[in-house]
Amino acid sequence: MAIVIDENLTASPTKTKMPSGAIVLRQTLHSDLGGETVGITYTLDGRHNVCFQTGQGQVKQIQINGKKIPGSATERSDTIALVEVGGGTEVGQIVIKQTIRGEGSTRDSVTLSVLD
Amino acid sequence: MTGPRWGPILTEAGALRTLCGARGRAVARQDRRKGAFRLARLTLGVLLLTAAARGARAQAPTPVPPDADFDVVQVDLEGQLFNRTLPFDVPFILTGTVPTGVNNLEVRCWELPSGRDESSGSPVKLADEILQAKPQGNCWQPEGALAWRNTIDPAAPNPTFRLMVPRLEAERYYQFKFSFEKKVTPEDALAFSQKVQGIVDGILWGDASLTAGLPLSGDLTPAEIQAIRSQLIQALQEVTGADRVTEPGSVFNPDTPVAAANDEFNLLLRPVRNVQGQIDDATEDYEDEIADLSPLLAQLRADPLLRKLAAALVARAAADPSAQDRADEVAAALAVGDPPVLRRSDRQSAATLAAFVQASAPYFLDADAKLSKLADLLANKLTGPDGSPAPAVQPLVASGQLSADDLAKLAALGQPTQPVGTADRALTRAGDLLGARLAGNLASRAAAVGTLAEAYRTHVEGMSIIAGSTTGSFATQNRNYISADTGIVCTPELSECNTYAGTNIYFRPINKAAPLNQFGGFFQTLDRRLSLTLGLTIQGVGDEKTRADLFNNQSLLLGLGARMTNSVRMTAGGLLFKKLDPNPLADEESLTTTYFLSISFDIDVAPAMQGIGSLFKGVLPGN
Repeated sequence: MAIVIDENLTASPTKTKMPSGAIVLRQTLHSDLGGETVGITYTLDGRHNVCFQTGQGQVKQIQINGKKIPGSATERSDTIALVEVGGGTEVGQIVIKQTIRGEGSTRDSVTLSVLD
Repeated sequence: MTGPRWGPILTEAGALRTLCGARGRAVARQDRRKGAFRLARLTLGVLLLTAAARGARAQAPTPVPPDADFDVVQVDLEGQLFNRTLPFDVPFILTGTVPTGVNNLEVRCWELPSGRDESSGSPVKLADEILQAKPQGNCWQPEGALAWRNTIDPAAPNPTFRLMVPRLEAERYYQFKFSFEKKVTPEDALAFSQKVQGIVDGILWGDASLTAGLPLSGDLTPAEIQAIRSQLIQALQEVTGADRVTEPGSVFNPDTPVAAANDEFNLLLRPVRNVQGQIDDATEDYEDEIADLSPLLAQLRADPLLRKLAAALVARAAADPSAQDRADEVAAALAVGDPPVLRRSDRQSAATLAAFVQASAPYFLDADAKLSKLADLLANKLTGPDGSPAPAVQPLVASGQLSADDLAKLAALGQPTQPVGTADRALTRAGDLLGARLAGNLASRAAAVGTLAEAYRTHVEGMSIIAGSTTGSFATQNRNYISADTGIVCTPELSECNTYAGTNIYFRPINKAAPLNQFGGFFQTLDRRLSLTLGLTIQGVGDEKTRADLFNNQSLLLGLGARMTNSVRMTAGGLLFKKLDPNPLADEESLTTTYFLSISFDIDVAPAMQGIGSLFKGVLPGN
């Protein structure tokens, strides 16, 4: 685990209706190895019906590979979109979990409010 | 019109059995005519007097006080007491003071079961479920609650309310609830915000007895939101004494739709929940770190090459004190213990987790410094750029305590991705995880909870709430069984009419201030009309020839009466007097009765008919 999170993951906007527009996820982090290439995974809980809307369809997990994380604190961002599959969701908040896999694994997450 | 009706009733009743012969019949006929005439006069006179009395009363110049004709009951909302037994059968005025700032007041009433609690002897109070099943009360259906609105000035100190309360039944127990609408004060709002902190802190963090991995994270469900909403509403009620919140649209108002409440809670609770997810991530990362770090430190402590280096430095320090610091650094690094383990008990609350972070800081400060020095020694100070032994360790190589190969391997151990370098980085990361990331998250959470509490402080301040106080069980009056009256009693068989005073004993409590017609027709109100009458004639019925009074100049009346109006009663029954022997030489007497009919008036209306007695004196037979 060589990735150090300097500032936790944030989302903009933090509240959304379904389907959402573009949601930007930001984070500041660095590698204590002076730099390393990591894979970043965003995951939604499988118990509700909110999914990521991607070019490949509606998925519960997004994998981003080959991202270079430098040795100094650096802000990076990813953009996602959410959509309901089937009926209306029961949940009021959606958690997007992030796992960064490099030398080890580092976790982070961000919570969004889902408005009726 | 009354005279002819009375006439036949009395005159057709027949002669007294004790009179006999033609003289007796003639006297009886004469008396019947006189009696009919006198009764007609008397009846007319009574009616006129009654009308005059009513007219005089209606035209009385005295100002009518605000509570005229109504009983007034004072209520002490703080003491939850009434100042008197409640009247029955008649509306009454309920009055008292409400706290400053109250806009309106609602009064609800529940009739209590007739039974009593066996242990206390008190009336059985209604269970909350019953009260909630009939939230508007059950005394005045379908009216429900009585309402008073403060139309003067809500800011005036202790405004007085006055409410007209519909009639209650006699001999019953009632439970009253006074609910008044007021605004949440700044003091209450502040106290509530402090409670919000405790509630949100506890509920959102989670219950350690139910969940192993605290704090709670993940999706916030409507059920969790509902639980938080319920507790916040309860807290607001406790702080303000409110029964319910009436502020339109507020999440504390039970009428606010669940969807709207969910939206608000989702927005307000999100920052706390969000950072809790990040706390959970950080603690899991920490657990992963020390899961790798502890065996790595154990491996270093047991590493033969590092132990060989340590031994060589100790031996060298004995001969050369300048080597002592290096010897101590290596020994200290190899003595670093395992990192603190985050236990379940450390995660049971934000406070316990913060305490763990604080308690762990010295370990990481110390261990990281020691491993950093060891890593630096190994990576940078054992060999030169060309791999040759550094001057400080040349004596160790020269003495054969360490080989060049040992030095190369030791130098490799100190590289960032090798065991010592890895342990050094892991200690730094774990220390930062606790000291920077987790501590920062905990601080962010505390700030988010504080922001939430402040948001609710401003949210509830000035909000309209219904506060209430419930009185205990209060009884209506139950002793109004007896009344007194006076009137005219006529005994057709004696052909006489006399005045009398009597006592009426009812079969249920009677409030004579309650108009009979409000309870229904004659037969529907029979229980309120019928009474036993026990009385004494004021003038005697004796003639000293055929009859004598029972006591001196008075004879006893016993009958069954019915109120025709609130104060006028018709009674029929028996008159008890003494019968004299018609033989003037005999001195025997015996008790006998004759039936009577009477019309009477309650004693409390008699003063309105002053002078009626003199009229009776002139017209009544036998006077």
